[in-house]
Amino acid sequence: MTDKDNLNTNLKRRHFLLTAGVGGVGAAAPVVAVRSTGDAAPATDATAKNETGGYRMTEHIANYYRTARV
Amino acid sequence: MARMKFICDAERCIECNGCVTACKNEHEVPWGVNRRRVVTINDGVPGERSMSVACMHCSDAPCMAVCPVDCFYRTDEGVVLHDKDLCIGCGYCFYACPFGAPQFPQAGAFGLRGKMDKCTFCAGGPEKNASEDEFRKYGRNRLAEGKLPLCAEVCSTKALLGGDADVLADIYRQRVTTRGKGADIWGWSTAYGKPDAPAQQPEAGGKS
Repeated sequence: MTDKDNLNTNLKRRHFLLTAGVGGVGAAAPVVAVRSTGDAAPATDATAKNETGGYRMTEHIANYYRTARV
Repeated sequence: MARMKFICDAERCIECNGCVTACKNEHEVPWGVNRRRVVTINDGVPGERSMSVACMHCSDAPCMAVCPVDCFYRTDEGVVLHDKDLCIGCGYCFYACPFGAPQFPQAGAFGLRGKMDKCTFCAGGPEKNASEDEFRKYGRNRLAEGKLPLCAEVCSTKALLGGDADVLADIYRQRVTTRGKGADIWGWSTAYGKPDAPAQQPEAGGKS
């Protein structure tokens, strides 16, 4: 085997590794995305009580303010 | 974010105790616990004043400062609430509060002091909104229903106001500038007379 053949072989191995690397990153991306979504979920739950259960201007409250001005 | 506050217009409060009754009924507060009460000063004297008092949801609440188990917390709307699962019933908050808001059920034997109970601004507690646990421990969560505290809503003379502090300040300012203060208030001379215009005396010789 000549040095040139060795060089080609080495390059092929590098291409394989490169392909595997890109594929691996591509495959890992959804996993990361899913994990990120999973991390964000508890924060949404924690603020849910305030978003749905806190003070907000409703027609009922607006009517109260209106009558209190009498 | 709106900040929740109570304000009681002492010129309007007629000591009907409607707020007290409504609060007890709405939250099914046990005997011996009054989350709200009406205080009257100079009772029976001209110029007496009544005022409905409960937790004022202080911005720098002393109850929060002294609690050894740190069971108090403040919501985004400025409502001071507490977690009854953490409360040990020590009573420090009762001594610290200048309004006497914290209450302790004393129905147990040997003077047992139970978990502290106080006005929640009808905002419930840390449990899930409108859940059975929340109602049992803290009463109704009217804020989650898009309503305001019942004591303020039932006040017949609109003396007790509750809600967004900015709106309440506008309402109170409008009242003060309209009616004046002290003896300038409408009805004062009828009720108490004025130094320069004493109340009309009944005619002599009338029916006794």
